[in-house]
Amino acid sequence: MRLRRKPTNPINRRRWRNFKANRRGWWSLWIFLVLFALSMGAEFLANDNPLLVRFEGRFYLPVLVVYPETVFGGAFPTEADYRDPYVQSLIKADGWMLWPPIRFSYDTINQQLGRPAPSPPSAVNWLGTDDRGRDVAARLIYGFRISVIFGLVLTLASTVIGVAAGAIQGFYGGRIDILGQRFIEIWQGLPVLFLLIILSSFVQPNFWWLLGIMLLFSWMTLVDVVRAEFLRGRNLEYVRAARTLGAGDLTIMFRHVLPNAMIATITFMPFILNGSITTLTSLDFLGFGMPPGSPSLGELLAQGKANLQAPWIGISTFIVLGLLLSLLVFIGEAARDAFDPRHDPTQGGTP
Amino acid sequence: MTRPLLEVRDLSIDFASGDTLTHAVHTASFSVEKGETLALVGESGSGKTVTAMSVLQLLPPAARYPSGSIRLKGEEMLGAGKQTLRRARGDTVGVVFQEPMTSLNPLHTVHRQIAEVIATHRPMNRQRIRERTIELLHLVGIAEAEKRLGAFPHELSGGQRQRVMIAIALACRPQVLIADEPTTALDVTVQMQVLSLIRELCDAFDMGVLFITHDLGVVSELADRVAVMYGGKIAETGPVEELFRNPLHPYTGGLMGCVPDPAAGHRRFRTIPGQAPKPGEVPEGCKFAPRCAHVQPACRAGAVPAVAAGARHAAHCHFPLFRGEP
Repeated sequence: MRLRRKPTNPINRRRWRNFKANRRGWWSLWIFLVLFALSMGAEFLANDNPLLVRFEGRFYLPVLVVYPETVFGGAFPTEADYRDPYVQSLIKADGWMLWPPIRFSYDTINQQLGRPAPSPPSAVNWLGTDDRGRDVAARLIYGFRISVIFGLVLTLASTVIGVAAGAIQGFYGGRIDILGQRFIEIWQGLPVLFLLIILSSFVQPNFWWLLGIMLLFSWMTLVDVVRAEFLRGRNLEYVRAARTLGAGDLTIMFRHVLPNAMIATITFMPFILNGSITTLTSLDFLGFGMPPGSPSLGELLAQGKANLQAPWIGISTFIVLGLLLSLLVFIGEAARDAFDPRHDPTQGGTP
Repeated sequence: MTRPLLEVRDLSIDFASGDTLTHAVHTASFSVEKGETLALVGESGSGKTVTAMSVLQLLPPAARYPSGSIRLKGEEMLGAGKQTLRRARGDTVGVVFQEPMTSLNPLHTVHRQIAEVIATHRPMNRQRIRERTIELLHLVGIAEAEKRLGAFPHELSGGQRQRVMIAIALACRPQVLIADEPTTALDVTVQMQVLSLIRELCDAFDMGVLFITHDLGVVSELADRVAVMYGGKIAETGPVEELFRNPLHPYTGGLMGCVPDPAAGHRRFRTIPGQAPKPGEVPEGCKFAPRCAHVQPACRAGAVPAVAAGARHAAHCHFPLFRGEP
């Protein structure tokens, strides 16, 4: 694992020490990693299929494999619905089932609710159900996962594009730089949220569409920082020395100038991740985001707003979202400390 | 006669900023032969570094070359293509810079920086590159080269850094070495070590060296021939001993006079009155006229004739300090 690897050179060792010295950021990182790892295994935490079935002396793995009902002695050759009391009684007759802690997937509708949806928290639905009888806890877990993955992919993509654009502008300067800067100024002047709404009403947005549409605007965050670093870096003595020794433009950009610009970039990344997650959530909240039915924090927030008589939806979503964003900010602060050459962990904590 | 390794003819360099052109170098001519060290001497702003960097076409894009030619092994460098230039940089010509503190990338180890040059010009496998790097570090006199491979620049002393720079410059066995005031930033004792190292290596590899300096002591130590630059013009060139003994140009004479001689009981440094002209404010006629002790009205206008004393000793002056063979 990358985190366990002992950083070899003294600069990285110092950064690692500074990062760890920020206890809040350090614990936030671990909590975030644990939550993220858990959400990656969402199918094993919240699922309407059992993890393991023992039937007539054989084991079945319904989480991973689709079994028709006939396998368990049912009538239909369709996939077995393990929540169906009939199927349950068939399996219980000669075996047993091991369920995940939450017996609902994000789109499972609890048909056996004692009262109209949204129903309050109970032993079956830990955080209650939403207005269609779907389990809020399950939707939160899956929604968390989609938000984080979306945020990570968007952050990565916009970092790559932003760094490349900034590097080219800063390194070559002159006309390329001026044209690029003017283009970015115009592009930045566009009303982003309205454009996102207009664009996502043209297509039935899915994960990748949304990613592409948001990428159109999110790549600009890093351009200015990286461009400034390159403008400074291209005139450093060792960069000119590298050119004198016959290094090509690409070698100089990536090996000699970029490492300097990376500090600003890495420091920015947790905050870009935060921004990406917030944008996705707001689009979902407005109903222009992920397709209907997909688990998403924004959609849950919208439900919470529409069903103020069912506070368990809004409050639990708010807590999850607030926790996620706070953890990322704390991690970002620690990363900033780690890469700050003047930061001294013995002189107080974060400013 | 064989062609010199590096031959610069009538080179002029201007810098454009907005609509104005600043003349940095005027019709400079010099050549460097195999195994020979040419020292380019001059005050700050006299155009030494600009001239040297133009050889590899490393001047900023604002630089213009209104006339002249730069031939490296017979190949024209002015207006040469990217591939030709990249081959010249680091392969045919190695460069050692003034500031060893800032000329090494602080983020990469010594090994990586030397290996980069080798990999750029002489692609070979990692093991070979590593061996070559160790060999180079031995060559420039770094003790325990194997252990030093993984060192970062900040872990080395100034002298060691300059040795590493020399190792980088020599990585591909260049035929020409350009040394741009390589000892200015070093202690006097370390200076001597680095100078003798450069001297030894040049003799060993039979390199032509273009050595840029303002230190006449260094010149007498190292150079075979000297070119004195003043105000963007080469005032005088000649073999080092002859030039030191019989300077033709009053400026050269003035420079010699500035070297303190404790034995003669000098209490004060002698100086040349006035200041070196700023680029762009260079006077008409002889550039040195405003500061010259022997100035005559003829000096202030028109072209300055060349005078020669012997086959290889020449200066641009109306009234040289001495004429012909003594």
